[in-house]
This record gives sequence, structure tokens and C-alpha cells, in this order.
Amino acid sequence: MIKKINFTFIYFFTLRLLKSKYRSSIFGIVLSNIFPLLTATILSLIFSNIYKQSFQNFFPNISLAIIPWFFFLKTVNELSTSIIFNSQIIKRKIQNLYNVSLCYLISNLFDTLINFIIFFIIIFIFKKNDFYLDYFLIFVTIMTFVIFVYSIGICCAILNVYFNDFKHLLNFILQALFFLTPIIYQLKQIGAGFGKIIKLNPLTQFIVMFQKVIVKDKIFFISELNLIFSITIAGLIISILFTNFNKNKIQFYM
Amino acid sequence: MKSKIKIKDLTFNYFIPYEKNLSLKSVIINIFRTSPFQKYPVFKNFNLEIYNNDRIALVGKNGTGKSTLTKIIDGVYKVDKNQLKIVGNIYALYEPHSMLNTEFNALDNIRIFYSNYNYTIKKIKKIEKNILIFCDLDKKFINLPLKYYSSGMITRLVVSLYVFLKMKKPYTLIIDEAFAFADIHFKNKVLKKINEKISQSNIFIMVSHDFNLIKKYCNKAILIKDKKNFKSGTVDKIQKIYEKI
Repeated sequence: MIKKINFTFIYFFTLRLLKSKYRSSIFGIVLSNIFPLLTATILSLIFSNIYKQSFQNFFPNISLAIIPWFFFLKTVNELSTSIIFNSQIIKRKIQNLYNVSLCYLISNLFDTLINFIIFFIIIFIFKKNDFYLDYFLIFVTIMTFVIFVYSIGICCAILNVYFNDFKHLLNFILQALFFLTPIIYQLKQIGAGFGKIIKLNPLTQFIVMFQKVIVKDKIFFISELNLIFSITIAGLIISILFTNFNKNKIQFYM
Repeated sequence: MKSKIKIKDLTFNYFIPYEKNLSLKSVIINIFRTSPFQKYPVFKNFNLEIYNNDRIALVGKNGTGKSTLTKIIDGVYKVDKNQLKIVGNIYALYEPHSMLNTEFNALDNIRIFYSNYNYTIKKIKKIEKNILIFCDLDKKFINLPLKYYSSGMITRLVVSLYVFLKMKKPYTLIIDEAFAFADIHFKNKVLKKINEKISQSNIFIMVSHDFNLIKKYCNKAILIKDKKNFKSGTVDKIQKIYEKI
């Protein structure tokens, strides 16, 4: 797959995606970058009142769940239509399937990284945290999460070429996943029975990992790190096999 | 260096869905059907050899597989390595609408097109303005997506892309009904440049129904009759057979 990556293509295509997203306006850039944090702030205000706990505990927890969630949601949604929207480019050269999908991933990662930077600035200003070396582990988590999201996204993109109603099913699955992932609640707040179901959701492991770096100021457990690595590797293998099996067939359905 | 194309026992099928719009719903309803797709054979045990310096016209009725054959040669459709052997590079100019992304503007399309041919960012930025000047687009359209362009404008853009493309020798050039929408002024402007590319090519393949154009550029013609049979010969001979069909 690495051999098939065309960096010039990725540069121009990503630039084009970012331009169309921001539409050359300051408002577009600001809106797409503060939206997840704005949502986190509103949710923190609401839930800190409901649970009668301090806003300071809620904001980092919800932000560290909302930012990855928005990345997951936007990337999977955009990747799922990436082949159909760029069928001419991919039909001409099937290797562009990887290039085009990587561009969508990079453009969303760009927004997410800015979100994380803004979040860290807020945390350091308001919580006056010391800087821990453990914080660097967030990059490991982000990179692993990016590979995981890409694996899911590219499989959705292929399914969306075959089945014209897959988009509706995907919307339903994403809606369900939002509630089955500890974003607006925490794992410890739910019962053991339902907690087991929530833990089966791979996204849960990633969200918990993101929250652990900052909120608990606690070093990663190797077993937890192993778990997200295993989930990512399994997802990647499945997506590579699925893509390789289907890449020459999807040309007929675009 | 010479070019050569050898097609041996080529079997190629299109996979088309049973229903007009394939949906998850229809797959669930027809769960006992082994595959939601049916095979549509285009070629079966098809053999063809094209040699260096051949100038070939592919003719035949619509739907006989002329464009599919050019796309197989170009590598758009993948076939087994034993079925297709190619020496040299392939450059193919198809029907203009199928070449570009109509949601992108001209500049984006130019950049994406050349990056597919391994041009560097620097090289592309160097030639993109020259291409825009050459294809003579109205300034109002340059920043608009191609979906707002007329067919003629898209043809001008696509042909200009190939005029500026450096083709690495030895190469096979394929032109598949690409000039259909171009006006006479642009045709005159561009034909001189395209003629150079054709004369420098080691193999030239043209798909057309226009025998005046074929006689101008080709010394051989291949009439594709069906998925297995074809007839080859001089352009005049093939024209006579084609007109009788």
C-alpha cells in the first residue's frame, strides 16, 4: 500500500479539501476548529449541573471524548462517500483509492490536531497543570486511533459503492455508537452488566485511553496499550484484505 | 526501444447487479442467491498482438468492447498477467467527461492529472498557467467547477493536458473518441501538437467511427465483431466489411 501512495497527489488533493472546507473564510476555519470544544463546554455545563460536580472535572473528560468522537464521525462519514464523489479519479487509476481516502483522513486530522492544541492551551491556563512526560503518549494514542478510523472508513467507502442504502444504515450505526461510547458519561457511572457491553465497543478503549493521559495524570498500563494496538492491527488487517479483494470489482459499480 | 502489446486468451467479464439499484434490502430479500451480481462477458479467449510502429484503428458496433479493450491495455481494468503483456508505457486519451472530476475547477484538475503521472509539485506549478492559456478558457470559468463547463470547454482542457504531457518513450498512445466536441479552431490549433505525439509514438491505437480520421492516422484496422472474433486488415478492407454489417 505504501508503494501506491502518491505524495504530490495527496498534497494537491488535501489542499483542495481544506480550501473547500474553509471556503477561504476566517469564519469557516474558526467554526470547524472550535465546534467540538464548544460542544464539550455546553455538555460540561449541563452535566456538571445534573451531577452536581465541578465543571473543571467535566470539561477535560468530555473534551477528550468529544474531540476523538468528532474526528471519528466526520472521517467515517466523509470516507464513506469518498469513492463515489471521486469516481472519475479512482476509475482511471485504482491506486488513487488509497490516495483519495488518505486525503480525507489528513484533512480531518488537521482539524483534530488544532482542536487538541486549543484544548491543551485551555487546560494549562485554567488547571495550571505541570507538564508530564506522559502527555507525549497522547500522540501514540492519536496515531493508533487514526489507523483504526481509516480502516473502518475505507471499508464503509467500499460498501457504500455496492449498496445505495448503506449510508442510512451507517447513520444509524454512528448514532447508536455515540450512546454506546462513554462520551457524555463515564464507565464507572454505569452498571457492571451494561458496562460489559460498552467495553466491547472498540471506541470505548480509545476514549478511555485519551482521558487517562490528561485527567488522571497516570501512566498508561501496558495491557491497555496492548489492547488498543491489537484492536488497530485487527482492524487494519481486515480492511486491507477487504480492500484488496474488492478494489478491482468496485470499478464496475461507480 | 520498441513497444509491443500481446493479448493471449483474454477473458473479461463485467459484473452487473441483478437489480437496477443494488441495496442492502435487496441482498437480504434474495439471501439465497449466491451473488447479487451477474457476469456479463465482454471477451472470451480473445487473442491479439500489436507490434511496434503499428497504427491501429479499433472499429465495431457500440457495445462490442472497443473502449473496454483500450482500458484493459491502459491498465484501468486489471486482468491476469498471463493474459496481457505490454512493453513500453501507455498513454490514453478517452472521452473527455470520463477523464476529469466535474466537481473540481480547471486548476485542481490539472494538478490532480499531472500528479498521476508522477510530476513533482514544482513542475506542475510551472506548467499549470501555460495549460490554462493554451486551452483558452474564459477567465470567468477558471475558478468554477467543471460541471458548469460546456462539453467543448472540457474537451479543450483534456486535450491540452495531453499536449503538455511529456510521454516517455517507448510508448503506446490511445485516443478513444476524444475530439468529438472540439470546435474547428481548437482542433486546428491542437492537431499539430497531437500529430507530433502520434508520430513519435511506437504504437498508436485509435477508437473511432470516422473513417476519414482513421485513414489519416492509421495503416491497419481491427473490426471487433463480438467477444471472441475480430477481423484485421487494411483500413479500406475493414471499412467495406464494417459497412456491410
